[in-house]
Amino acid sequence: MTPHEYQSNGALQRAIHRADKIGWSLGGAFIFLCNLCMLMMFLLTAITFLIRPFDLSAYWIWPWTMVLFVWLSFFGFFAMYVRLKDVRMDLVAEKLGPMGMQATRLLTNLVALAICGVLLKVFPTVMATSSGFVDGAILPNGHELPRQFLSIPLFISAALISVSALLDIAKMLVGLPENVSMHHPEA
Amino acid sequence: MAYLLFGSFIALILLRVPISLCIGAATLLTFLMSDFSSALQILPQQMLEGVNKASLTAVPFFILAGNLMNVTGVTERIFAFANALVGHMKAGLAQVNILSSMIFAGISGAAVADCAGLGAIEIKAMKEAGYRGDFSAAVTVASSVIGPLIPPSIGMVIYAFLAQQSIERMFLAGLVPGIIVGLSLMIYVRIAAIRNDFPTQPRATTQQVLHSGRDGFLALIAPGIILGSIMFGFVTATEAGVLACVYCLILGFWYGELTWAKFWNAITDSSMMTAVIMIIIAFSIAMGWLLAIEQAPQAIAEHVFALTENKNVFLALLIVFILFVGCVVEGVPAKLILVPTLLPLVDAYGIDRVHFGVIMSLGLLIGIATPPMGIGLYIVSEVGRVRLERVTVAILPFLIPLIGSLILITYLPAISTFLPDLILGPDAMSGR
Amino acid sequence: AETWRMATKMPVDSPEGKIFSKFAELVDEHTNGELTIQVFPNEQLGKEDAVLEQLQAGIVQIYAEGFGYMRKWAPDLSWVSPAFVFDDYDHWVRFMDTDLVQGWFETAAEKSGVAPLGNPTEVLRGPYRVMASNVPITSLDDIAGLKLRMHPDKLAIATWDHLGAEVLTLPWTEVYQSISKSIVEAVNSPVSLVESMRFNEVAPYITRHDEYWQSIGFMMNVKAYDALPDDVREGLLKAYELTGDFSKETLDAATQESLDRMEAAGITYTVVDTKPFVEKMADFYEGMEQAGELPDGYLEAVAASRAAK
Ligand code: NA
Ligand code: NA
Repeated sequence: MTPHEYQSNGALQRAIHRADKIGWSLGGAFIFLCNLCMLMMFLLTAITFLIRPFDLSAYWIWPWTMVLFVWLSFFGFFAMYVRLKDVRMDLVAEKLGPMGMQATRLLTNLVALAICGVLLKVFPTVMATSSGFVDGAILPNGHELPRQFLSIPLFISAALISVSALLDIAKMLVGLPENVSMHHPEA
Repeated sequence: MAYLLFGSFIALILLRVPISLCIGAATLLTFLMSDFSSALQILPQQMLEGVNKASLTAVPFFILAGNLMNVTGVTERIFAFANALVGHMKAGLAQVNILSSMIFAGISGAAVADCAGLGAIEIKAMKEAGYRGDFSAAVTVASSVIGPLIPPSIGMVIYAFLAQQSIERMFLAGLVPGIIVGLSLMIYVRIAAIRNDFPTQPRATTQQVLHSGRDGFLALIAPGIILGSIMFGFVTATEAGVLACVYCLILGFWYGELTWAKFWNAITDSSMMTAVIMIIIAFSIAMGWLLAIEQAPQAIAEHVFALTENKNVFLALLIVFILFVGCVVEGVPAKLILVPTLLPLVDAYGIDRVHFGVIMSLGLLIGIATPPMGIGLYIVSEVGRVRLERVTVAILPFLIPLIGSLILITYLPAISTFLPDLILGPDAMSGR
Repeated sequence: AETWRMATKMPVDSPEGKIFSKFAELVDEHTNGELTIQVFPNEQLGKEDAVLEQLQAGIVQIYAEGFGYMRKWAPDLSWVSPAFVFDDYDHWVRFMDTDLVQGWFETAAEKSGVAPLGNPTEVLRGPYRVMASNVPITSLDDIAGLKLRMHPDKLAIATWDHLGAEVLTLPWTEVYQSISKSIVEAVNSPVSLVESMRFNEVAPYITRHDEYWQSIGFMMNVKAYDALPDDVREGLLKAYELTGDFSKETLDAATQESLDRMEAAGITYTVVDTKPFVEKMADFYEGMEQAGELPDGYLEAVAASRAAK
């Protein structure tokens, strides 16, 4: 079930429902970002081995591929969370009945809040100490990419996951259903 | 500490928490209980360390290659060719199912692409021919174990990075074991055919074999191209992944089956699957840091060493342990936790790291086919429209050839090490 | 008694790994067990940036690696091991002792709380640089048009480009395969790694060119150091000094053994005259100085330390 598949009644439910739809769309935007990172990695790597027979190489290609890979992973953190691409095991919760589903839903939100809360709490420390630049990842102006930019997507995702978790708790309180997917990626 | 780590992790998995959060929460909890509870900035720092690893950039492309095969018609052609070759045998389509997986494995690096893409075709064909759905689904899951053994393989890339072995060496090491698993499954199906009355198909005419062979030829040489170009050093493992994708795209054009929408869907599936794996890796590396600085693996190693000094006894304990972990923990996180913990032990008992990598890969892969974290079972029950409980029962006999192969591979190290030693020379160089 | 965590990149059984074990042993001996060094090899605690952050936070107390990584706190520290600037090893050691370089270290220490333990050139790395190639290299002229593997570093690429080589960037682990397929013809390496990377099998010409000298920096957390009792600090410094002596002896011996083994297996070892390289690079560095790309007073300090004090 996605935000586009359930109904809401009353002002409060409708407001929360709208927020849920926005979160869902934002997840789509982050998937788009991830895809873009992946396509860029794909192109850069393809270029690397296509031009090699001509004794050509550009030293910035590899460092940028790595930056894109990091961004793909970190932007993907929010995307896969809100779009339910991660693996979860329903068996036990289903055995426990409707209460089991509600309790595990709340647990998941709390776990997400705890992890992302800690990440956000140490954000200033991380920004202060990750000085320096990513070797070889040059920008059009000739400077290299500051190292902080590697982790920033992680913190953006952590912030958005926290908001999503709070939103789902709000949904529980006003009696809206949980978003679920039938997707089983990863092996 | 280890109890806390594993305990909280497994409890959360059972309570329907997404797996990446389970591993994150277990890590966080362990951090809070350790001497480093005031140094939580290590968590995001090590997460970055985890995803900022050059050798892991191969992961998204080996996933994408599998997904692209499924949307470009390459998968169907592999299936048709395997059908023309072995479809007439006893339990023909079951044999086709296994052989297809072996061919598919040469391009794809992930078992899940096998179950979801090839599996959908296989189960449909088998059901239409009159096979029971649960049996068809079970063969599909069991044979998907072959995918990550025969190179290329995501699991081997991750192991190579963890154990500081070269990716090429690990790829070569998995090839023969992958074929052995395939053959053992084929033998098992042949034996099962004695007692069961499986539907039969007429033998394909030479013309049909040639026809499907011509159709599938381009798909069939792909594994050779990919493995060959890695071995001969034209490309790195990551570039080989890209090469595989490019090749699938070209075939898709050639077959006229590639559309922009299919391509974009394949990219989305792959990037999300990559994100899940990488976030799991990110949290695991943070956990690995904590284990390392607390010197936990060394402590565990001393503990086990006190139990037995016999290498063979240790190996037996090892495979039981790995099979157990594989039942409850997904392959990637399981490797991330187990490899750093077990390596000191493996070294101490004088077990080859390459050999250990193959044991661990197969051992954990069998977990795909076992409840509760049997991802393969979920997927085939979905794509094949078979009830999960029935597949779970139908898979049980297939554990005999799978575990049999594992025992064989465990006690005959040469099956794994012979080929890489022959081609790359005896191991002298660590992965750095 | 105190325990210090020491992070390194190298495996325990590598030549450098043995030096670090010796250091731990010597510290124990010279501080009467008051200070224990716990070594974490193999990048167990992370790569450079991560470990330096842990060093700053006092989670790790010593990191043994090249000083170049400290450039994130004092960018001038990228210039401690430039290619073909110094006439010989002694020239470089004198330069490292100048107020200029000490000033860089102080800047970094103020910013990060991380500073070198003792004299920064005590423990050698390498111990020297060679080129492994599949064509003979006997002089600077042979560099012209040579297909040379480089790591993705702008300055290193520009340097070898200036010397006439055709530079290709490749990961270190791809070098062996790439030379065997003649994608590149040569690679620069510390002499100690040639045999372990098996470069000699595909590149049978090993040429000592002394591209630059390098030490293994024992970077430490200053706060932790200051907190040590005086006698323990003295013992630590003494142990470091003795580790320096030990590193020179063992590296020299290990290098000679390795060269003997490789020569017996058929490689050709040559020592090339570094002087023409230094002369050719002079105008390159002049140009950088004029463009304001060198630290202030850099070439001046190089010249001043040229004449033995
Ligand atoms: Na494969
Ligand atoms: Na199959």
